[in-house]
Amino acid sequence: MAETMTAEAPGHTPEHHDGEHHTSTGLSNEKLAMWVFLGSECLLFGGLISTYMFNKGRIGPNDVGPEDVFDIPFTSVSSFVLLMSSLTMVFAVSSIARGDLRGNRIWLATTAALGATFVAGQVYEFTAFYSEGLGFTTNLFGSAFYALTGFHGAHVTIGIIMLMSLLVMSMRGNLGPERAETVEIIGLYWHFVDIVWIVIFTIVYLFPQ
Amino acid sequence: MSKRLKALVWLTSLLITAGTVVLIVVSIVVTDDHPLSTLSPVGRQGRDIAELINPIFIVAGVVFFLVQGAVLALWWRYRVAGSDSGDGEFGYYDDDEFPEQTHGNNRLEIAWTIVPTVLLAVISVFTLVALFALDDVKASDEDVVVTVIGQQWWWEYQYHLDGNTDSPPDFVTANELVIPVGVDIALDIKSRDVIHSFWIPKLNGKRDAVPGRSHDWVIQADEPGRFRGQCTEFCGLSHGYMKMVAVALPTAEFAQWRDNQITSADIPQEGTPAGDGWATFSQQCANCHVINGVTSAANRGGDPESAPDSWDIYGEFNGPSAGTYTDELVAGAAPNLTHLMTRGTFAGSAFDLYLNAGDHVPYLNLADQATLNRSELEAWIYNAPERKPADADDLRGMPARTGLSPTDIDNVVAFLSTLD
Amino acid sequence: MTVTDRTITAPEETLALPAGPAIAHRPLGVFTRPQGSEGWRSWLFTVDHKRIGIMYGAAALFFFLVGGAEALFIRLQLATPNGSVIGAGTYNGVFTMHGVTMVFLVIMPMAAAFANYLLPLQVGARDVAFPRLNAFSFWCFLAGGMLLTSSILVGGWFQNAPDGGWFAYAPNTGLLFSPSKGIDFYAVGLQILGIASLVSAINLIVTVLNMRTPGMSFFRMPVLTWMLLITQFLLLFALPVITVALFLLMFDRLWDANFFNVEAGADPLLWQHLFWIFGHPEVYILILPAFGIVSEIIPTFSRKPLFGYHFMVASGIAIGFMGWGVWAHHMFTSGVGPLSVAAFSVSTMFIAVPTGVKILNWLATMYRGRLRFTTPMLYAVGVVSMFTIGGLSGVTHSIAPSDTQQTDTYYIVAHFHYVIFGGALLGLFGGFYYWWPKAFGYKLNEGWGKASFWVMLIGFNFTFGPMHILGLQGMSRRIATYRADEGFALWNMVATISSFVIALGVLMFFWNVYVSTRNWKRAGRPDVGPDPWDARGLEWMTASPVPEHNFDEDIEVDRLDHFWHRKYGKDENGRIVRAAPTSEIAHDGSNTNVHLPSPSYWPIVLGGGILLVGYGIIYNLWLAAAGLVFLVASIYGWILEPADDPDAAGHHDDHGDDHGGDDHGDPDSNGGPSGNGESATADEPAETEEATVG
Repeated sequence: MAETMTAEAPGHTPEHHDGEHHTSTGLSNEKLAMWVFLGSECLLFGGLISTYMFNKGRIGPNDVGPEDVFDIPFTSVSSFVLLMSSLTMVFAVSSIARGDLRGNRIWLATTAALGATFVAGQVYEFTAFYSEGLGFTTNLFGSAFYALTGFHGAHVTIGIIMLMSLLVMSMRGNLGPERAETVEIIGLYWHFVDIVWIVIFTIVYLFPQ
Repeated sequence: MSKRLKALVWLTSLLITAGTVVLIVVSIVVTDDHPLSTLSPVGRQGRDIAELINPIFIVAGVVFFLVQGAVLALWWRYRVAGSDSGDGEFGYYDDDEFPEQTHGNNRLEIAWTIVPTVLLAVISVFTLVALFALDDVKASDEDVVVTVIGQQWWWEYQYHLDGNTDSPPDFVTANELVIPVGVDIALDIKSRDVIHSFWIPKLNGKRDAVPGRSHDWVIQADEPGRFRGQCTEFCGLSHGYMKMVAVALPTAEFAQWRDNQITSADIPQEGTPAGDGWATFSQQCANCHVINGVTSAANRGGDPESAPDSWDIYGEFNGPSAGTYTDELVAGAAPNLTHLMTRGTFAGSAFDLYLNAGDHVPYLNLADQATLNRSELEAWIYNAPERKPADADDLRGMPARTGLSPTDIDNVVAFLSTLD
Repeated sequence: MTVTDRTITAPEETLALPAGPAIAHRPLGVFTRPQGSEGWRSWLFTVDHKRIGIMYGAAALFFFLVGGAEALFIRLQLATPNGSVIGAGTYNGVFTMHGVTMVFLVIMPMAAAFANYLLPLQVGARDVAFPRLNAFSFWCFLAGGMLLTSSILVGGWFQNAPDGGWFAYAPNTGLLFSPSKGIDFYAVGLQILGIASLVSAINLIVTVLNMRTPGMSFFRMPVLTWMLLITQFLLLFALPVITVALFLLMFDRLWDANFFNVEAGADPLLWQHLFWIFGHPEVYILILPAFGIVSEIIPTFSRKPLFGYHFMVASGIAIGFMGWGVWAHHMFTSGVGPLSVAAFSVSTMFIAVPTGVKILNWLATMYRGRLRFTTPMLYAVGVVSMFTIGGLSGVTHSIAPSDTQQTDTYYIVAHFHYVIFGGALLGLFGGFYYWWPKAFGYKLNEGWGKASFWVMLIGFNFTFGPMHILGLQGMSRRIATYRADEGFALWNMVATISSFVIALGVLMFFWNVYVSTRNWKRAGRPDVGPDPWDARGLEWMTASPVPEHNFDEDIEVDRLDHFWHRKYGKDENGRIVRAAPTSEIAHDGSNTNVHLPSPSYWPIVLGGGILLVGYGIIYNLWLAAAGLVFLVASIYGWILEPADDPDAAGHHDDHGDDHGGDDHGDPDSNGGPSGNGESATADEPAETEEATVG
């Protein structure tokens, strides 16, 4: 993202930076690309969720199943943490749009920290499940569960890496208000990942049958 | 050439071409005697399908000639001369003349959207009627039900004479599915390993054998005969050699065949070639092959207590409790040879067991042993993978080079010849 | 319109930002951008959509030779009963690789060649939205293609080639039943190709949606642009589904997951559903670009506009939508249940309607036209004729009961070769002849072109026509051989002989390329002119070969077939007359002040990293880990690379995102080939995502 800074460094007047100009749709190429990419991601998670739904019941009567391992209160808390990170992401976007660089750094860091908390919770959860006898290879439920939530966890992790990169840019003074759209675009990704989690949490945890 | 003459030449060559195509197609349909042909069905289901599709073939043929005719007519009528190199003053054209610049015609567009839609709607009604009729495969309770099990690369048939697939089968045979003529026979199609597809083109369409699933299917033959088939879902190395035969017998002959199949084989006398063959067989072959009354669970290299009989070793793969699935699905499961000599083919119907035998002679054990395809059978026992690709190291198919001497092989064949 | 250059003033203002522009320009000292536009290096590091398009085409033709050779081996093996030319084991690898190669490494990249080359030109843009990403798509595709193709050689001839069919049905592709590395090559190779296609799809969608020249509204876009756009949307939504399926397969094979483990209760039909939800839209991904090409060629050589433009677009969109609702017609015999079979049978029948509309509109375009049967026109009309046959046989197996007789027989093989060879490939070859002068500045020889067409067409019909008969006579697909008494010998022999006729036709095409190039050079490289065919699209409105900057200035489009209407008008009698000579309308490419994105090392470096990860996943996960580290480092290198190259001389300095400081005189114009260059901002999430996934 440092590139974008230098790329856009040459004398931009503000109206050049909101990305609202000179494209046929009015959206900047970057933002449009993110929307299009997220469209594709919907199908990726659609496929994974379908796979999970298809397979979760295909276990024997004595196998480790959803009810045996899920700790709903714990996962609810970590889900709440992830949801809150969407809120702080909104603050990050609005702060940079206002030119509040310090606030922006704080909110970026908070969002990344909340995301990291969620991932840490997921790691803890996986460890706990594993010790309760549910491994990736144990049964179909295990394979499908870890594949789905693992893919989501990887997405959150990538989001955290991007947020951290933004933070580093900001520290180095490369993330000014003219880059607000960059933050917004990464925010789009972050919100998408959160929404996907709401779906996963509902389908996987709240309705294990 | 004058324009007229040219047109005549065009038209003539066109008619000749069209006529040739029609002639080829007609001759293929009329003279069809291909053993796997879908064009000359002999069973009710195959006939229903043909009666559904044949008019559609004709409609498609008409559309084919209309479109191709239109292409050629437009070609003939509207092509213009010009510069082939495109170097002329007007590029590829001789002049600057332009035809009328029509951009479209909404009524025409709507018409040629609606007409095919209606046509297809009519076709879809016939299709759905036929589809649900064909799917109605429930045989009456008392009828024979055959559990058809595909595996790399042959078919097993488990006969349930009382129609109850939950009980052990009355007898088990392989590759050649014998049915009484004229009645619907319900099939319960399964697989022991990968996906296969059971297909006797003259009797009915195909149905996949999917591991973990059980598919109902039904076949019926109008007249006695041998109807060939071929596994049609790619199933690995020897897929092309995984064939099968359905044999329709007159009711009385079927009963005779059935009564024979229920019987067990006898251990041949010691000292005879067949007896020596049995000795070799029991050491080498009985690990995998079952011969009712002759091989025992102990022959299968297992603990006699826990070794399952020839029926339930294959289990029902409805869930993880199936247990021995992996062990059994590639090894151990080999054709039951109890009445080998009453079959017309062996090795997944890849080879004929008899040469020049009559249509259904072997099934009643009337085949002349002199017509036994001895060389092929010996070659098979000597080195099966050379005749039909297999991968015994990965527990699929007969092992290569069983190490049997020519005498051993002669004896084994002598033993097998007693299995009638 | 005068052309001004206002971005030259920019560099001083670089210092306007508070910190570290110098660092950012060259943060690690190694990020000097590649320079120059001559020599082989300039191809390796190019981000020019036209060069990338040409490289796609060249790679596709190379793989076409590989896939074609595989096809000939198939035909040799099947020429006679009990054939033993290559044997069953090799045969299974050969037919699998033939299918995978032709679908993923020939037709798709050939279509990508046209999409890359033509989409920006047809919408009047200067380049695609993200030029570096575009280069990455190509190198990633090439990495996937090389990885897949290398499976033929590694560890012995076809020892590790995928052997499960292009459809790779579980559980036959599980480790238990396919213990070689073949299926791993398949799964990893297709994942890499998927990344390439997905990135490319996003890029091209944004290009068409966002970078149209002023006045180029959606319904002024050429039909080819439309068809390619629909194709990209199909890719966008279909690829993630196969990605999921391939991941499940990989997890099963590499890490003992249970997705297709029947013993653990899995249902192998899951693979079939996932595969065909991808696989059927894939069929339209293959054919729609050819439909677009035919829709460009036929009007040109009929001297008429395309008949029913709006219906052509609408039917393309309808095919795009309906293509999602027919996948289970590949599973009529799989046991999905009579209700599903009925629903998919009916939906499949009706997808014939929009396809039929296209055929009829092409015929109506030819009706009362002035038809010149040049080589491209021959191919286009060939598509109309041959695709009709494939379409009709398609209708016959939408009839589910009859499909139980036809599926997995040679009738299906005949059907889809009429669609994919007779439809897609003939169309793409027509495209080669049609746009060759645009890309290279000279035409291919017409004599050789026509001869090659007829040889190919005759060979094609006698190869695949008889397969209809074979299929109905009961010959199954994918069988390595057949018994002598099954009666398949005659038509198989005919097909085998004819397949070599096709090969001859293909060789004649390559010979034509050689001869035409040689003759052109001998003749002193005469200029073919911007518009050799008297065509209609914007791509003909600039010099041939297209200059690096595409157009000298923005084109203000005022209607469909804008270029044609600039050339021709009507006199007082309503007769069509030349309004202006092409030389006055078309740009001559003399504007050297247009700003272009700089070449970059990173796309090819990233492609190499992906190749490393790919082999690592197959052979050694430590190698994969090393590759992943390399990949992440490359991504950061990419991101840190300035989109502008401050050191570049002359007009090669990029303008990055300076939308306002565009190269064209009219700052008030909106849209058009404005300087979007590229920015890592939006690339980044997608990139990182893909890298991790890959």
